[in-house]
Amino acid sequence: MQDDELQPHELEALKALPSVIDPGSLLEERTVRTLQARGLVHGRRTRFATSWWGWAAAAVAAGVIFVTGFSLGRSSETRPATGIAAETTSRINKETKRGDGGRVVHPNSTREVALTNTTDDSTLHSNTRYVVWF
Amino acid sequence: MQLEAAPSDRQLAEALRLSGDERAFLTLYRRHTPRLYALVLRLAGASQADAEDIVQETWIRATESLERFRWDAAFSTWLAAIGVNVTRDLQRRRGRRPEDTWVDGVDAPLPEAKHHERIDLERAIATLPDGARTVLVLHDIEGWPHESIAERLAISIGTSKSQLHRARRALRVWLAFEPVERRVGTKQ
Repeated sequence: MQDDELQPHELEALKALPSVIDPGSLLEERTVRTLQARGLVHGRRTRFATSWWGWAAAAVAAGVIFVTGFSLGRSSETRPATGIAAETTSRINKETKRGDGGRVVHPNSTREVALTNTTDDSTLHSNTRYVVWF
Repeated sequence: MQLEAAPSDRQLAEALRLSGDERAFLTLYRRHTPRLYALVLRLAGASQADAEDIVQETWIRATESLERFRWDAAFSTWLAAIGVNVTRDLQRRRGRRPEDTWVDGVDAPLPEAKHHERIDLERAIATLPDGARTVLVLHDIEGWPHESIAERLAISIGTSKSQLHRARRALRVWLAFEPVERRVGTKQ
């Protein structure tokens, strides 16, 4: 037998060596991160953002949020003004009927408006309007 | 019930090349890395850290050059060839200069084996000089012909054969496959 030829038991020993070895998941994560950093592989989030349907979905979602927010803003803008007017009128009525002088503070201001000690309805309504619209 | 066929290497590689599809890459990676890792771990002399660096660099180079792959060989063969190149580059950078051992007649001395020492085959392969180890791994374990080894390593076929001869004889000594009196690998 030639010196350089592999003998059966040598061949067997070499063939018995494992042909696959698992390097572990850390290497996979590291490799993917490196490829992403070089722009060779795109993650799922990036793919969504760069695809046309991703942009379209984002635009529709933004539109829905805007319209909803606008509608809510409109309804809440009118409701409190009416409420404030009714509340203020009721309070002034009570104070005036009690006969003592009162002061009304404008809800959005530090300015104060002195009410006269009167039972005249026209003055009362005029002051009330002033408080509401001031 | 019909099972869905797994996508081919080519389909996955196309998805990766055209859109950088991460899922396609992961499928390719998981399919081929265990075999690639086993190869480069042996080529790197059983250094796990080096083998991991080589695997990562191999995938980077493969992904970058997918456009140039003509599919005239199996994807795994192409990937292994890149792995061999990366290993040689790493050995050059480390200053080990494996090419010094390629020249016929200027062989680097083989490590001494103690009399009657019987060691594990993997460890024995790891102790071989880079050139002899590379040829032994590619020829006797991976089944590459000398022509392919010579082409890939840019050496002559004769050099490939002589390196294999040295590697086998050294292994026989370490593994006690032959009598100690016939030990070779030490300078005459």
